Amino acid sequence: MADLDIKALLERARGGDRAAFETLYDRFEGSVYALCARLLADGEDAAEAASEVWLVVWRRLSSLRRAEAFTAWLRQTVVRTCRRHARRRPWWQPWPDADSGVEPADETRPPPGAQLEQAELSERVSEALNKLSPAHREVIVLHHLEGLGVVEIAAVLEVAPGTVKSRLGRAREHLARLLGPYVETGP
Amino acid sequence: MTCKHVQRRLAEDLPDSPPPRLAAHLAECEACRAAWQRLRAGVAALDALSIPPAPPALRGRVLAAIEATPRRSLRLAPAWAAAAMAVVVVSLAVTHRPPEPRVAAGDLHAGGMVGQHAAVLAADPLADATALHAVSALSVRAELGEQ
Repeated sequence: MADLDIKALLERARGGDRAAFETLYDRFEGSVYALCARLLADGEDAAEAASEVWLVVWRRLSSLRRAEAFTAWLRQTVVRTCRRHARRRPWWQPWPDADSGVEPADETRPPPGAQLEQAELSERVSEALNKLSPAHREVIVLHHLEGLGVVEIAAVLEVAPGTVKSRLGRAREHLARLLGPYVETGP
Repeated sequence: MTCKHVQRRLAEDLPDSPPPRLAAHLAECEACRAAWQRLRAGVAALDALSIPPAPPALRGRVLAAIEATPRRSLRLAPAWAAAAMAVVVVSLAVTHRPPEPRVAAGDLHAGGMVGQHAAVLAADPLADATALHAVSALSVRAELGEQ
């Protein structure tokens, strides 16, 4: 959908037009849910977070001054909502520490170095992402999966670009250690 | 530049091809070369991640919740509006002072001339009458066309 259409939809939705809001929802439902799922690493949590995101959008859409900033504002709303959800997790389900090192490999999994099918590799990558700290997962997801640049991520996370770059470096190193046994490392 | 610095720099920048200084180090250091290959493979594996679809029931749930949720209004609630108005009125009453009279430079000059005129009149009460007589005589002669 062209930006122009989104702008028109936003204008109508801001005026209380529910049909326009529903169209807006349909346009962004997938990306909002996928981002929630990747940040929270839990389907049920992701669905709850996504619902909350849309309620926030509905209530606060009128305060959005520039329609061009909608996608950035939406992403920031998703990140903030997911952080709130993560904080509500019970203490016995803590996020793994980013620098805790490589988790021991499960013996039931394919042996290291084996060529994994796409679905299996996807599962391993998902598991590895879940083992990153929330801050590291945020930068990996926003950069490598959402395609945002360092400056855009800095704006979403409200931190300095240098902090984003540094987090990205550490997060990639940790991810590479976690995935090392399952990916081919050709020259 | 240590191996740690090389590896951190590569992890932060993730260049398509390492710059000459780092490339020279990689050519000589097997550990850094292995770490660089592992890093690239790990990042490339992210492409395999599937996109989770939203649960079908989510849409209905969200729209039902929205139906029951009032939108945030920019208008203030009456009680808050009254309180805000009271604060404004009190602030104005406390801070507002009538302005001091201002005297412009032209006013000071005019004041000086009036003072001088009063002094002349005090010395010669008929000075104004004499002056007016002279002015009117000049005007009459001008009207009669005298050159």
